[in-house]
Amino acid sequence: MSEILSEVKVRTPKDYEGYKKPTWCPGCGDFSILSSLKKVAAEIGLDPVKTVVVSGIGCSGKSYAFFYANGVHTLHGRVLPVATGIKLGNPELFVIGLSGDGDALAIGGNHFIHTARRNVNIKLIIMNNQIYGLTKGQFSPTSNHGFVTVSSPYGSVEFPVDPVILALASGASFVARAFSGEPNSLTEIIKEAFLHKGFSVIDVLSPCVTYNKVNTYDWFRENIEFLPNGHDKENLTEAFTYATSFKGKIPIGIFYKKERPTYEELILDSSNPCREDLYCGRERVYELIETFSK
Amino acid sequence: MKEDVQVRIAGIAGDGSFITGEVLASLLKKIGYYVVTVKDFPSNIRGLPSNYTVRGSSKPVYGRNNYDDFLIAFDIPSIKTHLRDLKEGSVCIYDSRDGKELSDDLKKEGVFYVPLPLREIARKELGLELIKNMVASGVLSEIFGVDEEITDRVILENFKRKGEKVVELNKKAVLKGRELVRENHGRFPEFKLRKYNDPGRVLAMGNDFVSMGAIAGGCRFLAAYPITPSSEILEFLSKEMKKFGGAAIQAEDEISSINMAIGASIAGLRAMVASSGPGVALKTEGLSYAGMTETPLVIYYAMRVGPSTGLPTKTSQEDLLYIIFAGHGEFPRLILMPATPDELFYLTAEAFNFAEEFQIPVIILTDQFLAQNKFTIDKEKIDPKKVEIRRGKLVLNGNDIPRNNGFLLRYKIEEDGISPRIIPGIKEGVFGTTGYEHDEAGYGTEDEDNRVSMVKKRMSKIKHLIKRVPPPVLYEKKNAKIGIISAGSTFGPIMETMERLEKDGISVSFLRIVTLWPFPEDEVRKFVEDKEKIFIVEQNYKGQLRFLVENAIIDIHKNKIRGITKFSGRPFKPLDIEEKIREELK
Ligand SMILES: Cc1ncc(C[n+]2csc(CCOP(=O)(O)OP(=O)(O)O)c2C)c(N)n1
Ligand code: SF4
Repeated sequence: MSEILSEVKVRTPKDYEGYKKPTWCPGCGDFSILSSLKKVAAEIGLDPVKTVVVSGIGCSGKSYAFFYANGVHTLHGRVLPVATGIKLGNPELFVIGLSGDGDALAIGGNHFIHTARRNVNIKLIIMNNQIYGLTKGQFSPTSNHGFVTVSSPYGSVEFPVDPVILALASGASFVARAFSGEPNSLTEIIKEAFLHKGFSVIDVLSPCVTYNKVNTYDWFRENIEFLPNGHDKENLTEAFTYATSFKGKIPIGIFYKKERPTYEELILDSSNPCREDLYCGRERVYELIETFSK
Repeated sequence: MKEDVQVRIAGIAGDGSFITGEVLASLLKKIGYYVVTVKDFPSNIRGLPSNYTVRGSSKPVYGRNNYDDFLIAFDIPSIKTHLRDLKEGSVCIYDSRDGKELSDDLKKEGVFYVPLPLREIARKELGLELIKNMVASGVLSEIFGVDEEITDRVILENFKRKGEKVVELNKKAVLKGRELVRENHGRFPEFKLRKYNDPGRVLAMGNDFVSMGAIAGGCRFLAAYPITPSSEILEFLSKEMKKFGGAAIQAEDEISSINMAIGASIAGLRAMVASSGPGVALKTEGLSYAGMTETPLVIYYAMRVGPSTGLPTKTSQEDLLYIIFAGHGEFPRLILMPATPDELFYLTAEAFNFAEEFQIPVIILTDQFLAQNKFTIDKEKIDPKKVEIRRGKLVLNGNDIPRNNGFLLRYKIEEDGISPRIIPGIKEGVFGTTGYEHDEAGYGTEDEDNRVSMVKKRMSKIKHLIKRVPPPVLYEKKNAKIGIISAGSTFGPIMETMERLEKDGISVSFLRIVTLWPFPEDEVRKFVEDKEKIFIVEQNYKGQLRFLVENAIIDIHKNKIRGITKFSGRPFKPLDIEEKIREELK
């Protein structure tokens, strides 16, 4: 954790203002995610120089420009592989992934499963508005069955994927759900995710006020329910139980949290100084050549 | 005494032709021969026909010869398949399991046929039918006059990890093979090989040379998804990379692999991906992203036969035009086509320098023949110490770069088109990177003037790149009126063709293209202008290299051009080229 804390000054959310002002529609749920992100960053003293925000394509993906840190704006769906590469390239960097629901679970669905399995130390926030925003309102993998959109005029015949269940099933070591309209719990959850070592997924319900006229702030207020305080977060079975049925409502909170070795810890030999000196280890190349000339 | 020998071992997959070939290759290397192998295996694990050719020569060789001196056939159908590659004086040793006379259509005049009870001996005397292939190795060792001490050493090296029992059994099988020859003395033609002192040459697969070159060149990250014929890179580097502080990863798919490599490169590592046609197809979105974000990246591309899944284990040069244009939008790229073991090594190492200095994707383009076959080279010809590392405009302190609104100008417009390269986590400052068109700080903008200057900035690298890339190699013969142009793995058979023609007083010069892109237009034009006739040798149907040459030369020279193509999935033999040239000269 120490690597992400800035040594110098006490920070405020304003210190994390990005290169640009957000260009989202007024009222978009993503605003609240961004401001929680800044609050958490200030609270834990996140060092922008050692932080990389990796985002995908979509309204959500624009956020890399709205936050003061290194920003890598990747292709649609490719947040996680790029973030994995960055983490392996330099494990000291604090890597935050920002995805839309289409980005993370449709085009990037395969990467989602495998990054969770690997437990790469990336914090993934899914800005889940149950629709494709940037391409103007087609259904997404989290859209409800029967949801009418421009590309599902007769109602979506598909059933939604639940990011929490998928993350649990894929082996993510931190899994949570939050709601944009509940900034306090959202901030708390992001903070806990940031302090967790390992792949952390937060599914944030984030209304698209322009294209999604069903899953609105009011609708969510009526349909969400917080997980009980005493819930044993290290118990995967319990996490599944809450995730699959909870009083007929959408459960909010931290479902699961358990540390296990990260991918980069397992794959890299950190004692080796070759990262800086690329000439390092040359003798070993001679040895390799030697094995072929016996 | 023979100075050049070629043996083909054929059967169905599972017969052990592969291991026989490997053992033979080591044996030949150990008696001081230069070796080249040609694997011809199906995309299947067992049951389909396969064969393995090993050629040994006292001179360096990089391809197979026209005919086989020996054919070891584990089954009768294999004789039929390979009969056309036998000539007068060739020996066909076959398993006499059926005891039947060979049918007439399998008999070629001048070929010595030697039926041997390989299977039977293996089963009855060694208790393991599978080991018939080592009996065959014994037969060849005796005929070639290889010392027992050398065969023992090779067997130990090849079977050590399977335990002492296996080693002993294999040695016994080899001895049985030797006895067979001694007992049947007279049935074999004289074929003793000259014995040289073993200079300890390197014998390795093309993919091994590439892997070693990558490590020597400072590559510290590989992400790949297994695909023939590039998988050995993943296998090699998975074992070695960790020891150098890096990582080699088997990604969930090709899309992930290129994006991981891009991430690692953004974070400052020298990164590479390795793949083939279908995999590179999936990678093109990432390739274009690397182009826009100016992320250094090395792509190893071993071509196989297409389209689609094609013939996955066979060789081709069908993707030249594809990889030149792959990816949407316009961006500079460098494509290198090595042809020899030392080039596989050094060009791979050098690819990382070009990628970092110019902040572009660099493609190492090979094919199944180069990638998966073994070649020998004198050890001193690949020296890691000769590999330089040049990291280009990598900046490690943000205070050295101008800013806008506190953000470092990662994409600052410079005359040579190359901006300071910043990696995250350096001292002071942050920056942005995006696949959208962006301003100097790396943030998206649709401003018209910015777009124009950014395109110019990126594209202006090309004119600087051209001055630095490896030029074509010219093999010039005095007064040659005929020229050959080619690239990559066709090198070996072309060199031999030239020698053969020269013996008949036909001198031919050869221009071998090393940098496929940017295409060396000036050198090619000059070469073509100089000659009366030009043959373009390549392994595809359309004549893709020819297309590039014709595009580069002045129209009046077009009538000089003839194409020699092969697209069967098998590498050229010298004869394929020689015959076409002779025909044309008639
Ligand atoms: C490879 C590729 N396919 C399609 C697109 C077009 N595209 C842009 S954004 C988007 C969907 C965005 O939806 P989501 O990820 O849910 O993000 P949101 O805009 O809702 O925040 C699509 C399909 C693209 N940019 N790249
Ligand atoms: S379209 Fe929807 S998701 Fe996009 S900015 Fe507007 S409200 Fe937000």
